[in-house]
Amino acid sequence: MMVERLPSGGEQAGGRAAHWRSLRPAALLLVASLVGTAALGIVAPRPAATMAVIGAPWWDAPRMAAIAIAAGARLVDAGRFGNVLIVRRGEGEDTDLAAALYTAGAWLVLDAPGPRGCLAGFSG
Amino acid sequence: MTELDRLRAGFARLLVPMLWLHVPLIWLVAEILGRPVLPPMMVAVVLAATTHLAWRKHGIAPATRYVSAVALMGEPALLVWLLAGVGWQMDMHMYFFAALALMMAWCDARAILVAAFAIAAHHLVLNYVMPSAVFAQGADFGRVLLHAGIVAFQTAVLVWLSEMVAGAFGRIEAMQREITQQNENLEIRVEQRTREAEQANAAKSLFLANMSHEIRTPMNAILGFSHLMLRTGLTERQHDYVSKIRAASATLLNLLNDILDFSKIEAGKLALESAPFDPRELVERTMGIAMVRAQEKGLALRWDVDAGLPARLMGDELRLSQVMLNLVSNAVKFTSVGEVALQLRLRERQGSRLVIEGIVRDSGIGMSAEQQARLFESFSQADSSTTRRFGGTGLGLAISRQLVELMQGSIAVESVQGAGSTFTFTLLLAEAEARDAPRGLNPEALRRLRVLIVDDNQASREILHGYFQSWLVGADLVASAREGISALQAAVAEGHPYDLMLLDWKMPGMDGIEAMRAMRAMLPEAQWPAVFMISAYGQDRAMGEAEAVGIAGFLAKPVTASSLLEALQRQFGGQTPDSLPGPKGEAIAGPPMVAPSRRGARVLLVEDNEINMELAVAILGDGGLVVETAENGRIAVNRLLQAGEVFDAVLMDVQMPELDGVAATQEIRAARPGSSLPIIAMTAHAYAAERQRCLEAGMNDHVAKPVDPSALMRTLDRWIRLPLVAGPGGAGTVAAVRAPVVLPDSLPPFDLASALARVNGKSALLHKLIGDFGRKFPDAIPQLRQQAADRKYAEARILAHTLKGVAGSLGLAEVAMRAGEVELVLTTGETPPEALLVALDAALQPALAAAASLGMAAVAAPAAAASFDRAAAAALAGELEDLLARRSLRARRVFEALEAALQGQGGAEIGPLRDALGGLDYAAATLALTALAEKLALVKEKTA
Repeated sequence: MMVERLPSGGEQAGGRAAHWRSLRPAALLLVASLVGTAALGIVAPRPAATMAVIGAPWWDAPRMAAIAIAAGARLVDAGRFGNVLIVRRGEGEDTDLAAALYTAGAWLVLDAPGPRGCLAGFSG
Repeated sequence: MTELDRLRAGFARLLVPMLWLHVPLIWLVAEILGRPVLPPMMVAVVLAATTHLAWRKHGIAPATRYVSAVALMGEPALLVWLLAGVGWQMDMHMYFFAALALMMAWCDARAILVAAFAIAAHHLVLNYVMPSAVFAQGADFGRVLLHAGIVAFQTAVLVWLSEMVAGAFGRIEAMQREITQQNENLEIRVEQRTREAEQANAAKSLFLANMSHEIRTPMNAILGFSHLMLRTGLTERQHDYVSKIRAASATLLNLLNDILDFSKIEAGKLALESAPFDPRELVERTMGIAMVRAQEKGLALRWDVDAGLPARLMGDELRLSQVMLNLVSNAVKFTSVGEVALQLRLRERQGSRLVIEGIVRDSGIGMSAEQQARLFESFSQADSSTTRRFGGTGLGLAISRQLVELMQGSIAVESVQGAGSTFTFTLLLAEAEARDAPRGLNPEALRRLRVLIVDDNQASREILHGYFQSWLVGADLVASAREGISALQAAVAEGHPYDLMLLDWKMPGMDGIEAMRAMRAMLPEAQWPAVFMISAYGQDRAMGEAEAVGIAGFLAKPVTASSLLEALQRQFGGQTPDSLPGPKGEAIAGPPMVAPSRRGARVLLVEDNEINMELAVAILGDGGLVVETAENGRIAVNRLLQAGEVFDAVLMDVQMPELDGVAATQEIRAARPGSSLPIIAMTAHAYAAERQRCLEAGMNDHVAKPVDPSALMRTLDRWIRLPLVAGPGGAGTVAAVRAPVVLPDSLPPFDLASALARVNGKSALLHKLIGDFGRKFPDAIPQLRQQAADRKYAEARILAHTLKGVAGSLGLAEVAMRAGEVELVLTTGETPPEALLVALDAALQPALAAAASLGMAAVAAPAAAASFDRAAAAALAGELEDLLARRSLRARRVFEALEAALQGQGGAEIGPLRDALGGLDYAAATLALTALAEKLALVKEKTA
C-alpha cells in the first residue's frame, strides 16, 4: 500500500509533478463520466420524450419546422440555432416520433438535454 | 502506518463497496423510471471499477483519493440525470452534499477540491452547457451561481476541517515519533549504562580476584610454614607462638573470604552452610581470637554458654562465628575500661528448631538514639569521627545483620551514651545429633587426677571447674595463693597430694610466681604437683618468670577446654598416650600422605614463588611423592615436551612469569592431545571464574592456596593413575622412607619410657634421635682420646658435654653419667684417666649397637629384604648429584630417601655426606656422594 509522502525541500518540484500525475486518472474518469452520463439521453430518446431535432448547419428554421410538421410533431421550442428545433409528439399519439423525424429528413434526433438538474422545472 | 493512514485505509475499505452498491441502485432507479438500464449501469460500473482498481494499485495514495472523489460525485450526477423530469430530481441534489461531505474522511483537502470540481463540471456540462447548446433561452445562470456558492461554502468548511484533522493527526504522529525516538534513545542509554556497569563490575571482580591472589600468596606461606613448623620439635613457648600465628592467619584468611563474600551478600547470593558444630567450642574459639585485643586494652572478657543449649547445633558455624566475633570485637574496640561479655542461650524451642539468643554487653562509650538508628547500614559507623578514632570499614555490623537475617533471626541494639551497649541477636538453628563426646571418655588415669585450682576470679574458677567436671575429674577450688599452699600441705599430710595445680599468675597478695617459690620451699620435691600457670596479662613476662620457677605448662586466658586438654595431654601424655583427643592430633598422627599405592609418584611442581615452592615440596615430600620443580610454565613445558620427562601429575601455579599456568597447560594439551597426564591448578585465586578458566585450559582440577595438605593429598589420590610412571620400585623406595616408624617396646640400654616422655610421646622423633645418636657418636671415644692427646681440651669437653646431654635425653643414664665424669675432668684442663674413657666406652658400645639395630629394624621391616634396591638407590644418587650441582635445598630430602633406600648399607661414607648436607656444604657433599657411589658401585649401576 502506497503511503503519501509529505513534500519537503528539494523534493517539492518533483512532488508537484507527481501530484499532477496523480490527478490524471481522476481527470480521465471525470471526462468519461461526463460523456457517459451525457450520452445516456442522446443515444435513445424515449418515444414520449421531448426531442431535439437537428438538421444540417446551413438549414434554417422554416425548413426545420417543415420537417417537424411532416413528421407530425408538435413544436415545443425553438433551438439555440436555426438548424435546431425542440419537438414532441402530440398528446395521446402513439407514433414513433423519432423515426418519423428521421424519415422527414432530420439529421439527428436527440433526447432534449434539459432543462434538467438544478434547472429542472425552470423552463420545462 | 500512521494513524492518518489507518483512517484513510478504513475509509477506502468502506468506499469501494459503497460505489459497487450504486450499480444495483442505478439499475433499480432506471427500472422504476422505465429508462434503459444498461447504459446507466455501465456508467456506474465504470465509476466503481475505476476506484477499485486504483485502490488495489495505489492503496490510499492521492491518485486513489482523487479517482474516488470523481467517482463518488459521478453517482449523484448519474441519479440526477436519470431522474430528469421526475419530481424528486431536485431532492436528489442533496446527495451531492452528502457525497462531498463523505470526502472529508480522506482528510485530504485536495480530494475535497477535486470532488467540488467534479460537481461543478457535471453541473456545468450536463445542466448548463448542454441545455444552453440546445435551448434558445439557455439556463438561469444566477441560479447556477447560487448552487455553486453553496457547494463552494461546504467545500471551504470541509477543506478547513480536513486541514485541522490532518494537522492534528500530524501532531499526534510527531509526538508519537518523538516519544518513540526518546524511548529508543532511552533504551540505547540504558543499554550503554548497563554495559558500563557490567564492565565496572567485571573490573571490580578482577580487582577482587587479584587482591585475593596477592593476599593469599603470602598467607599461603604463613599458614603452610606454621603448619610445618608445628610438626617440628618446638619449645612450649614456640609452640604457643606458632599456634597463634597459625590461628591468626586462619582468621585473616576467613576475614578475607568474608570481604569477598560481601558482594555475594549484597546480591543476595550467599548460601549458608548447614553442618553440625559445637556452640561451646565456637564461643571459645571466637573469644580466644578477641582476647588478644582485649588483653592489649586491659579489658576483661567473659562469656557464658547456657547449660540448656544443646551440645551440637546444625548451622553455619563460620557465619555465626563471624557475627559473634564482629560484635565482640566491636565491643572491645569501643570499650576502654571495664569488660565485654558474651552470653549465648537457648531462648525457646519451636518444634525441631531452636531460637538461639546471643547477647554482647560492653561498658564502652555507648551511642545516641540517632547513631543506633543507622548503625546496621553499610559503611556506617556511629559517626564519621568514630571512623577517625577507631578505624574500621563500617561493614561489620551490616554484614552481621544480613547474616543474622539469613539465619532467620534479627539483631538489635540498646545503648546509653557513655554507659555501654548491649547487642542482642537471635538465630533459628536446628539441633544436631550429639557426637561421641570425647571429653566423656577420659581415661582412668585422667579421672584419678587430683586437681587444685587457684584463682582469685570466681568466674575463672568456675569455668575451669566446669571443664574438669565435664571430664569427670575432681577439682578443688581456692581463691588465693595462701589458701592454695595450705591446701597442698593438707593434701600431702593426708597422703593424697595433688597431681596438678592450676595457678593464676596475677592475684592480690601472693601472686603465682611467689606461690610457686613458697610451694617449692615448703614441700618436698616428690610432692610437688605439676603446675600450669594461668594469666591474662603480659604473657611474655609471665612465661619467662614461670619457666624460671619450673612450671610444667602455661595457659593463656581465656583458657579454653581444648587448650587445657592439650596441656593435660602434654603433661600426662605418658599415662594416657592415645586416648585424649586434641588439636595437635594432626601433628601426632603424622603428615597427610597419598594412598600407599600412589607413594613414590613423580609430581612436577610448577611454581614461581620460592617460598611457596619450598613449602609445597615439603608437603608433597611428606606426602610420599617424588617432587620435581619448574620455576615457570616455559620450563615445565620444556621438561614435558622437549626433554620428554614423564610424571604422574603436574601441579601448576596459574600466575607466573614467562608462561603462565593456563597457557602452559594449553601448550601441553595441544602437543599431547591424547595424554592423560593430570594437571592440577594450584593457585591463590578463589574465584569460580578462575577455576573455570583453568578447567577450560585443560587442567583436571583445582587446589586453592593456601594449600590444605590433606585436600592436596586427596586431590592427588583422585588424579594420579596407576601404574606409576616410575614403576613399583620407585614407589617402594619412597614408601620405605615414609613407612610408619615403630619403636620397640624396649631397647636397652635406652630407657624408652623416660625418653618418650621428654619428646612428648613422639615416637617418630625419638626414633630419629636414637638413629642420629648411633650415627654421631660411634667414634666418640677415639676422638676424645685424640683430642686429649692433642691437648684440645675445649673441643673434647664440648664433645663430652654433648654426649652427656644427648645420652641423658635418650634415657642412657649410664652413658650420661660417665660422659659427665669425663667432662668434669676435661673442664679442669687435664687428660681424663684411661679408666674413665674405658668405662664410658663400655657404657656407650651397647647403646650404639642398640641404635644400629633399631635403624636396621626400621628399614628392614617395610623392605623385607636384606639387600637394598640398587637401581632405586642409583636413581636417587643421580638425582642427588643433580640437586647438589644446582645447590637445591631439596637435596636433603632426596638424601633421606637415598639413605632409606640403602637400608643401612651406606657404611661410613654416608656420615660425611649427611654432615656436609647438614652444613649446606654442597661441594663437600658432592665429594662424599661420589665416594659413596663408588663404594657401592652406584655409578656403574647408574651408567648401566
